Amino acid sequence: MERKINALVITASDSVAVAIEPLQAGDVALCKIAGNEQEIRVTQDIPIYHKIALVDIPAGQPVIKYGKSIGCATKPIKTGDHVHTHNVVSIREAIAR
Amino acid sequence: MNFLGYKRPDGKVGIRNHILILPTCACSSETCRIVASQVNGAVSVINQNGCAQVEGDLEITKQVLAGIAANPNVYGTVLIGLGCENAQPNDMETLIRSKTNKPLQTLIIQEEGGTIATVKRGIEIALQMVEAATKLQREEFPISELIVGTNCGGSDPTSGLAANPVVGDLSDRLVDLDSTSILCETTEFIGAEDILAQQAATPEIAQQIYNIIKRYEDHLTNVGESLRNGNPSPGNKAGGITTLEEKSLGCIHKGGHRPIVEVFDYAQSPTKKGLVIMDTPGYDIASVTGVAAGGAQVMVFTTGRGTPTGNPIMPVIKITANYGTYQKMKDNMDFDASPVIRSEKTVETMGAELLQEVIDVANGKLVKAEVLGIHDFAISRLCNYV
Repeated sequence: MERKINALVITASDSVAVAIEPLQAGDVALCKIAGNEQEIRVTQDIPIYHKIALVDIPAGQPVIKYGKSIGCATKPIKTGDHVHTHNVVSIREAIAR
Repeated sequence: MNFLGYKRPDGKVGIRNHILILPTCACSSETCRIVASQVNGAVSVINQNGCAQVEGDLEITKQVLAGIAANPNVYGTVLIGLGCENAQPNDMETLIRSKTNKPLQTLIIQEEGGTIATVKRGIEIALQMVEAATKLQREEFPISELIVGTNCGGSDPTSGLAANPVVGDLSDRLVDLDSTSILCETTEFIGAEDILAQQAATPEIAQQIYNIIKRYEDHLTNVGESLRNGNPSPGNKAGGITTLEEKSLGCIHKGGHRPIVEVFDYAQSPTKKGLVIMDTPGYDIASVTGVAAGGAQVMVFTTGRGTPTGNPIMPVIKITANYGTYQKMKDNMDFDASPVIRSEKTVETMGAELLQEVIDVANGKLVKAEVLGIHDFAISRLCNYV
């Protein structure tokens, strides 16, 4: 039986996927990255359309979605963790003047 | 590709045929509402301003009011003033006439002799305008006559994943057909400004994009605020958007991929065809109002959380890619983009379907917000009243 994709990854360089159905701790998120299926074991409950870490993200490092930084990890994030306001903060990107 | 519209004496083409009952100030807004409620074919707007505005704010108010009157979806305007307000009725009449030669008549409550006399006279004038307007027939025009605004409100991650990319594809199609697509909501460029700057047709336009963002940030800094205090909203966050950068990177998809050929101020009209930027606030109602004042005949509006929003004179086509929202708020949503999320349809397929929806609406199909009579209106502001 073909397994259903339940998380979307926008660009191959992203460090997060977006759950397209609610996931519970222990579930497997199945996403497609550059044409290849990848499984992520979810460590925490993920509400629908919220983000899941695809890789470990150290504290202070940028979180990548759309191939761009969407903010900075405020604590170490493990693969499969829920990524949101509790562990990511906005950083003002330098504006070229 | 053509649509059926109404030719205006100023050469523009409307897709609706409203008689506008336009208040110069808050003090005449209710009188305008009463007139419009009595005349089938007339609409009024709420103008929250009147007196005690600094010059910059007064100018924004005047440009929005005159722009709404000049919008090609309006056949003609009954301008109702109080008499002592900042936006003086005679000045407003002159400003409107500088933008359009469409029918316009002015009433001043203090001169007419109160609300009842003004309402009576307003209804008489509006009635005559409706009779003349409804004699007009729609004619065929090329889609290049259309100016389409794009906006988002109540965003969630489905907006950036699917709804905004579908609107971006629509925007590309419109530009390729020699129409104009207006990208707006300056505060929601923040974090994605480098992408937009790369899309600018010239280095000067790239610099203008950085400048309007800096102007916004400086403005808020000057009053001791940070825009991050209000954006993303609680609803954005509950839906799964974490930071303003994430929201912006999703938002700018609405513009599509064509070169940005012009950047201009709130409530002004584009002078070029193609993809253009209007400097508007992230507050969606004020942004949509500014785009209507800039002369767009139709707005395409994406939402994730769901919103009923509409505009008094410009149809607002609402799109969501959040299937739960589409199901829950079907009476407010015009277009379901969730097949993209489920990989059932491509962005390109849905972009083509959305273009057909825009043409249907241009030809006269009412959007949900029009059917329900939702007439949101807000004028952007510089600072507090004085």
